[in-house]
Amino acid sequence: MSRRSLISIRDLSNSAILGLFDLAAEFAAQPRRRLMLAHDAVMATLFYEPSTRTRLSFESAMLRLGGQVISMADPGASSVAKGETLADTVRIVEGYADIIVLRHPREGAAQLSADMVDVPVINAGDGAREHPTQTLLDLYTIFQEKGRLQGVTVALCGDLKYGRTVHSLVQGLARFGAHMICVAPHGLELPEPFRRTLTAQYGVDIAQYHSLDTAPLGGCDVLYVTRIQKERFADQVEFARIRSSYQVSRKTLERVREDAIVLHPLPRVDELDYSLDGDPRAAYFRQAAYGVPVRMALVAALLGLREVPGFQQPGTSATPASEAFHCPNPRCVTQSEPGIPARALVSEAGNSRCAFCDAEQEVVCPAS
Amino acid sequence: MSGILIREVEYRGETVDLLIDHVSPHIMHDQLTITRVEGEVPGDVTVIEAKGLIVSKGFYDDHVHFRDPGFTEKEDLLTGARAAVAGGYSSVTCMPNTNPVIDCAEAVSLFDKRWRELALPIMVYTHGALTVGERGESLTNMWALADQGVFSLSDDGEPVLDEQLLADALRRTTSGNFKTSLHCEETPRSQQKVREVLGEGKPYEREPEIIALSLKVLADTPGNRWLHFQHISMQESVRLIADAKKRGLNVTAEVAPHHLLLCRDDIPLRNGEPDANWKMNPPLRSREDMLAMRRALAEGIIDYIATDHAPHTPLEKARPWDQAPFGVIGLETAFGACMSLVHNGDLSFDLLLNALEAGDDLLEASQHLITGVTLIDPNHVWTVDPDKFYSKARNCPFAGMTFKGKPMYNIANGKILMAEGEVLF
Repeated sequence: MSRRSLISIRDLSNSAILGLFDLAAEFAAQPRRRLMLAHDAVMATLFYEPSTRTRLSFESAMLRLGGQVISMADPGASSVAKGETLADTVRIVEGYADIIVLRHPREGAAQLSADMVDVPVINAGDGAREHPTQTLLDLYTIFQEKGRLQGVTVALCGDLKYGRTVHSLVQGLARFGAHMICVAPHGLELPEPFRRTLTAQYGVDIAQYHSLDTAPLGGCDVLYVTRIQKERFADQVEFARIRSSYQVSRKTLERVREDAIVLHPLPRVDELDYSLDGDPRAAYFRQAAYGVPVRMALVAALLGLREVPGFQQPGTSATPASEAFHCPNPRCVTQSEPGIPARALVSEAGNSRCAFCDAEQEVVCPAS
Repeated sequence: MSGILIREVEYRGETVDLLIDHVSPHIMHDQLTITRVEGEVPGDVTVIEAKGLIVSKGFYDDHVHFRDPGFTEKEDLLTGARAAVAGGYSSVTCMPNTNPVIDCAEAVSLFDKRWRELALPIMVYTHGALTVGERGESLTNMWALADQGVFSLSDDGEPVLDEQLLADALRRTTSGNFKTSLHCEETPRSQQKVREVLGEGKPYEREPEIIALSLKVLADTPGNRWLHFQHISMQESVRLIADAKKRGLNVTAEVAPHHLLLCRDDIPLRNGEPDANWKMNPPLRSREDMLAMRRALAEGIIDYIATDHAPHTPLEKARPWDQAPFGVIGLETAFGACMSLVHNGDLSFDLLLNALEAGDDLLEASQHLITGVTLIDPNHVWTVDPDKFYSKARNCPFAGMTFKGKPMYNIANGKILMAEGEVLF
């Protein structure tokens, strides 16, 4: 297990995140300068799924730190196609690089990799579970543009049920005391138990609306827009009918304050009108650009190149569960990698959850 | 080994010599050709002296629980396969209420991978779940499941009470070949929903009402979709299904051996209360219900026998009645138990074979490929001793009973998997 990895936003305490933001701001102040901080270090980007922008962002961050990059961007052309396991691959790459950035289609892949190697592993997205550096850069954007996170009101719009980006962001915002307005179509709302847990735990307001027209956008500091995938709708006619109510247009922006900002994790399809790009509130390209200094700060901290106060303390710690555990998630990395014993931790609800993919075991015995 | 010669076996009242050869038809499993031998016997064959035995296609069970992945302390694919072979089966389909639930393509691959890793010598298929996680909320992607070779869906263990959900599911099944199987029984988890949807009623006797609700949805769905009713146990259910078939609805039904042979009056006491090895859902019913199941099978209202082989650990089944989980095993006793009905005249032998999905067209087409062959000794008297079972589980209500008739040889995948009643893998 490496000294430090970033698998989940839970791994970082609030003060560690703020420490990273300070460091990121320092890097952002001289964006085009190549530092020599990481001149001895090599980053390996292992992308089992394509995500060109994320990979380029990480690679740019490493290069700007003065480091070097080796990358695997096409699993089809590599030993993966020959059936090499993830565990073997990361153990080999550990010998080639000082830090690994991993994007993998199976949940728990990043945790598994971190368990296998002694170099830091950064999770660039594991299946449907989490993409913590996206959350970091989203939070950083708000922090940088609005000067704070506490007490900020963020309106989140789009698919709030299945959006991996959204859940992580909502949790991060709640941790820092931001209030939220959720706008989502019926059936794609933020899951109610999740919303309730956050409001109870962090004392923030999270309100739900079903239409941009009725949501009180005039009170928000940030409008965070996400894409609604048409594949979520069995009925394409229904999809066509409702999607227009979730598209942000010039008209929507008329109700939003002059000092508010509009964010989007990109890529966008048509939920953010192109005519908005000229509006000073449109901050989505700046948001993408902030990804580089944020990732520079993260890499610098993980490689021990810069001290970030609070970084060494874990964010949350979980107790191991004692009973025999079978992961109920068919997409967990433990189902496809041979020889990985199931490992469970105790979840907040008191159930057992998979130490790799977070899936909770609810059913104890089959009903017949 | 280039073939298996079965000498002097009985087939449809005649004594014949049969040559079994295995072919590899470029799919996952070797299948068999079977031909009648007249005169010259080929050399280099394994010979089974089958005088006094009856030959049948290997049986098929559409409803078993092998608890794999996730609950392998109760059973796993290997021990389940052994139990199946011991019972004369050459293929079975498992229910998807495992852990993870078989509700998506990745889970089906997981299941297939297990089957391959164990190099199982019989076909073990899986049903797919109807709803994600069998939670009854959202439908699984049945086309993704079909891509993985799964054409049968079931939320076995829980009833489907949401008419809209069932209607959506039926409408999405694209043809009459896609089967939706329903477990139409009240369960602890669904008690409240049953009361909401159906009103008050006798606990655990809601089977006919749930069947009626399902039939109503089926009748309203265009396109001749296929609805299958699992483990029928009540005479009113038989009436509803007979009526539905008469009306031309594409409906089938199965019954378990325990509902054909046993009724609730038979349940013995253990430590002063009912023996939990006799506890299953649907429970054993009245004597009238039991007799109605026999008639329904004889008349073809019930289409086939399925054991609902439901293993649990001996520790779990040793619990008091209220705390023990539902389910009894049945693969190793199905044939012997149902032969009682042949011996007492309720069922013909041919009909029993049909009900075990081992119909009589063993030699029909010349290029006929079959999954397996079972040789039955109709006169073998034996006493059920669960401690000798190949299954990991012991929860069998037929324990201690004496049956006449037992499968003795089981041939599949070109190999003799069971000889003289002993499983060889």
